Amino acid sequence: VITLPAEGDSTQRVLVVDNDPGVLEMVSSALASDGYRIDRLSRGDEVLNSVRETPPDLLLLDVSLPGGDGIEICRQLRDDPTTAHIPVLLMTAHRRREKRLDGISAGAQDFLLKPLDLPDLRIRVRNAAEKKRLYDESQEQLQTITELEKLRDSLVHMIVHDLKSPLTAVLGNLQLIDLFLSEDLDPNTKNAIEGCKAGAHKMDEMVSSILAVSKLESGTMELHLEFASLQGTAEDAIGLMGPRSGRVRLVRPPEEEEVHVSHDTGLIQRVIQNLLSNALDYTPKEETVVVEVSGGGERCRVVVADRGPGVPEESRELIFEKFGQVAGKGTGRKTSVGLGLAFCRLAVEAHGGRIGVESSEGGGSTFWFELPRSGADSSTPPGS
Amino acid sequence: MARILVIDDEEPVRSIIRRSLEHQGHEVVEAEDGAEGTRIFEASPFDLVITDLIMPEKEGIETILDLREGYPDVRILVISGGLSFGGRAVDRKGPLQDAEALGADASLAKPFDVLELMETVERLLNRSE
Repeated sequence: VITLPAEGDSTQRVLVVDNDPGVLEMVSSALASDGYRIDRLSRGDEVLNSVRETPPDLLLLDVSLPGGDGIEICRQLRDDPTTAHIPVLLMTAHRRREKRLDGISAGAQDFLLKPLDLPDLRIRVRNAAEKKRLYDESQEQLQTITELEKLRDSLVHMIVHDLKSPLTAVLGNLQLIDLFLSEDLDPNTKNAIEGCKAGAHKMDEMVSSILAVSKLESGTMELHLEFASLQGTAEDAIGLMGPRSGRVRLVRPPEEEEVHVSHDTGLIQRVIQNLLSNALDYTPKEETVVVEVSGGGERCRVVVADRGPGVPEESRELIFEKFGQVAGKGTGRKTSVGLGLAFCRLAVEAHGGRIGVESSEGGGSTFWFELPRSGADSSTPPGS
Repeated sequence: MARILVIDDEEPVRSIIRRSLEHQGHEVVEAEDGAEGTRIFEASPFDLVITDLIMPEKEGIETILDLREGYPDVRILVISGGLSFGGRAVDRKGPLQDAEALGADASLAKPFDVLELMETVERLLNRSE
């Protein structure tokens, strides 16, 4: 006697189709005692409608039925995407191999020979039902993930369109105070206003970084490629660093050769700004940060070298991941949302390039990125 | 002095634009969305329209298309959220660029610089006067 563990899920429904009332009764009562809910049919032409109206978790189908051939029904269920996932177990007295192969190729999951061996049938039903349950579960999880992704997308949308307006209000009002009231303000108040402005600008940068990373990750950021000078882009980036640009030294390639490469100047400029901003944060105030552009060989390279404490070897990949900031030592470390370098990596990779860092602890860090000379998309006309 | 219509569903944003431009000596009227903006404009036209893009009633693009069709001479400045760093749009194929392609004369990303707003408005107003 085979003892079946009570694993039959009581919420699973089995539709049994056979024109022999004796078989129907025997199969139904065995499966009902295993905990399945049972529906019965005795004609082939009733099966498709019944399955479409109330989809079962499992179909036990006789091959020779009045009003329809079991193998043909099986084929039709497979061809309909709304029923294709329902496992079908065919039952037949045919002992011929071709018939069994027909059934399997029509999409039946299993083939049960008549006269039915009940313990065998119960195990096969249990296995098929378990497979169906796992399928349902994975479909549910997939749906949850899809919904979470939608939620994340709308969250990003919210950040862009709902945070940009209050930021406009904060920065705009601070600027209006400057414009209208500047003469009436004492130095302390002016300092406080500058502090507010810096904070709001920082917040704007964070918002933009989140959006940029999200767009790059989802592939919805279209590159605006131009065949342009990489030094030019680096110079623009340095120029936008404000008073801190005085601590940056740009090293040009030998012979004053301009390195021209197809790139999205806005994005790459931002990449260089992020690298520079980090480099300046970690470099002692009396020392300089070096930016070097070179273009020999297949790839054009930009290097940003700082005089900071260096990046520990185990962190050199992690820092390019989202929120992958490494626990800092010393006091010079600044807090950040940890998206700046992830943005750099995604932007460089979108160009078909590579990014990395070389560092010896205590000897400063050298961040570098390379863009392919052929361009991420050389078919784009220059300056389009 | 010019007549300027400001369309944005955020009152604080409208207020900043209004105070900046009144400071420059212009007459500024506010509207909460594209539908109200179009109504006010049709009652008495303006020299310049400043509009947001994403609004609950009648979005900016639709407003721009309608204004362009009926009033080819009006100058249109779009101000909207978008991917920008320090007021410079990064995503150069984003909605601000779409708006310019569809008939806006200029665009600024939020948060915008008030001085840049003033300069852009003067530039647009002086263009055909």
